[in-house]
Amino acid sequence: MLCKLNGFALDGLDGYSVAIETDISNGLPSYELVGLASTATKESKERIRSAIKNSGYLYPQKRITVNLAPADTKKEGPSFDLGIAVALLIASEQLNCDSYKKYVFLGELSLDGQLRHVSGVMPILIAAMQAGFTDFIIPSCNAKEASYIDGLNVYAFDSLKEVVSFLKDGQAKKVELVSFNSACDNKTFEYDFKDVKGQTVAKRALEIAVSGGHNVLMIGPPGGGKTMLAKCIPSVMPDMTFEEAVEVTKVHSIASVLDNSVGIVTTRPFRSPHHTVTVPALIGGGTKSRPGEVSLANLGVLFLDEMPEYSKTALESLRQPLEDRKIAVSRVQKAVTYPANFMLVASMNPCPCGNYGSKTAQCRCTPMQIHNYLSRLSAPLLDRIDLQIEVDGVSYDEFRDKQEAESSAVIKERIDKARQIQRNRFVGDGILTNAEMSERHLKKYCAIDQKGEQLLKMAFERLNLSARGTSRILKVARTIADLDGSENITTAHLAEAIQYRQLDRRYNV
Amino acid sequence: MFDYSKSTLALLALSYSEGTAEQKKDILTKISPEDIFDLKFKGVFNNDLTESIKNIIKGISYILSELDSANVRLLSVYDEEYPNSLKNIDNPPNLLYLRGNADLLATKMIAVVGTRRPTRYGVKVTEDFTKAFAQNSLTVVSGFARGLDSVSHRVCVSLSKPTVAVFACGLDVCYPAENKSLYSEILNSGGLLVSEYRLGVKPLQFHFPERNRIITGLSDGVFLAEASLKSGSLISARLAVEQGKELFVVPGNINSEASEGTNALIKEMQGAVVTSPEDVLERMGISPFKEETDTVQLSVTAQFVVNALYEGELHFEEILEAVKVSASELSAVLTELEIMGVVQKLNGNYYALA
Repeated sequence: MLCKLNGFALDGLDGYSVAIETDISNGLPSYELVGLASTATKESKERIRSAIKNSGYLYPQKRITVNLAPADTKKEGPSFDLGIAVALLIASEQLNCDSYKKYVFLGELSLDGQLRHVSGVMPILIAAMQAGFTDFIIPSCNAKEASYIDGLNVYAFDSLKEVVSFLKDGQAKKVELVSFNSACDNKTFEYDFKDVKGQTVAKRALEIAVSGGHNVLMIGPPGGGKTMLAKCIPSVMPDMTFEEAVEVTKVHSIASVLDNSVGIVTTRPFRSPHHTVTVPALIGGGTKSRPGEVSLANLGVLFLDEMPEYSKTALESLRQPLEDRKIAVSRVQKAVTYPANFMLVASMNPCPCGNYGSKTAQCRCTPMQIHNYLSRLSAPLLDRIDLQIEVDGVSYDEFRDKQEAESSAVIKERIDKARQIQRNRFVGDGILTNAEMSERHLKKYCAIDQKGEQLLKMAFERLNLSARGTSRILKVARTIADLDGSENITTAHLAEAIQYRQLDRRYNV
Repeated sequence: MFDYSKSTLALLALSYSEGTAEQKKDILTKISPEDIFDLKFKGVFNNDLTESIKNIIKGISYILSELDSANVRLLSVYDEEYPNSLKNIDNPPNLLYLRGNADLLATKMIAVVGTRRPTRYGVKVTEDFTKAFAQNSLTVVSGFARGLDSVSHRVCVSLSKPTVAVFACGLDVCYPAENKSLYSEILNSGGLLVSEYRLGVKPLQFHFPERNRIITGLSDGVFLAEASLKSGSLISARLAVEQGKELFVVPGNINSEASEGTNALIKEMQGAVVTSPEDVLERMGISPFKEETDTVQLSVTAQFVVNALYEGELHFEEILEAVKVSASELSAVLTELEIMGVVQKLNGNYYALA
């Protein structure tokens, strides 16, 4: 007998419906799986046989043919296990029902018939909903992920047996809709700006960076607190909307880095790949075109500690995502586009030993070494970094103690206000932050008066600034003005923005 | 092409010939350069050196055209333009290769030497003194090396004043390579490049002390801002005293390794100590030219910042503490002060009066 039911598979962030067709006919006992299945999918044979047997059903000793249609796209992963097993039970007439036709089946089977977690449930549900499916059967450990999507009937089960009895009698509770806000309630951050004493310039610069979505580079000796400052950034980032959370969750779900107990990403991601990261791990790739760190950091922060230590090719590969805010991962088998709209936060030492320019420690590097170290960051890459600041460890203990540091909550309030101003300004422009402004937007929103022009001109002449940095200074000045609640960019805003172009001005020994 | 005398050409041939420096010196004590050029090797045995000289003199026009295309001219110790101050030292170079403005050799010169790995203090002192020297029409001579040498050349170039760089290699070799832009900037600002080595010679280790004797020899005084105990600049300083030049040394922090050499020198020769450019100018017999300072109108905050900085260099946080404004306002004020040239940003968020 023949049985045909629905599965669903992902191609990047988009999905497509997969028909799971099972036919049992007389002949020598065999199991044939066709439809361009990958190894993990092919191996389902053994899992399904054991799962059926251990759930108390009979594995049909006949000629079994399973087809995953469309037959010409590669099927990855074990998420078809459940669908195939149910189809086998129906085809072998151990389960008689008609209700199965409306469901999409997702789930990996374990040998004892339990259902295991599969990746990519949220993007699958969303894609399937757009394709017209409304009813789903999924493993219960994926239930959280499904609980945030409105308009679906999702049923979650622990084992094959439960699925079968549900299909027989239709008795089970739907996965309940959970509001996104309730998931956000118990959000806590490990690091808070109030724990960082001193570092006023750096904190101010990071506030500006987050407000305008600017990329930022921190330069300073080891132990100066660069990493600590970076780790505080998530605590001041604007809250995510539900749409943003879904966008982030989809990518995290595909990459299997999602916290299953929550099921959705509630805080903006903060990704800090180690400096030995390979290009495919950073921007995405592999035969499965898996999303890389840049996509996992989408709508959040990508933190590169000790930036010059990263391989040159890895750093240069960041140029396209920094420009386009998405990344096209092209492989022979698959070309996928993932979002990569992240804020780049990088840190570096001023020289290999880290003490160049320090007041207290002696630098042991030769000028050539320093030159080589700095030249690992190419000009086109630095061009995409709006703020460059110096961070140094001041050791004025008494001085620090008497200072009351602002908490992240206070800073975040100011940032939210500045972001709101930007949202209002860019209505209809298709962008959200000052950092995303193009030349056209700069002309429209960053007009400066004659005094400002003069200041810029003087700055180029006197302070060794490169004229290439003009648009960056303007963008940052725009954000400073927004934080100030000012409609126009004043000379004070410009002057402050110039302070954050440190790398342009140094190192001409 | 320049019209060189026979003796200059003979010295050129000698410089291009094979043979040790001793052999070359020896041959010059026995016969005159004119005779060498005329190939009259009376009383000198035919050896590799004389053979080599013969061959070179036959093809001398090729070498001359090569020098010409490199814009390099020759100056021999027998020429009138050869500076007396250099001629009077123990072992003056017989032949100098020059590129650029050779008239500078007739001007009053001061050597600015120092460590290759200066501290912030060394750079600042060298900049300030060099600026004063250049503005008081002293020609600054230095060795084109990394560190303070390059700092002094750069100051002159930025003021569009001529400066003399003495190379430890051929004039067509730019060592250190990162000074490539400085090489052409020195020439563009009317400076002069000097070397006793023929074109294409690499900067070998023993060339550096040899070069130092030319730097000090050319100058009337030698100024040293910063040198550690191992620094070659100390050798230059002692050499300068032997050659009878004025020595000017700036004292440094007694705890700084980079100033150990200069402080040791001062202990030996108390007379050498100087603490302002005027000290040097006075002893060089020059009445200092006063730079006109324009008065600038500062905002209230800016005035507070400047007052705070009178105490010395301060960290951003310290200024913030002293002035009590927001970080953003202070950043803006500091930029404006920097642009006005009143304040200077140092590494590590430190600021000082310029």
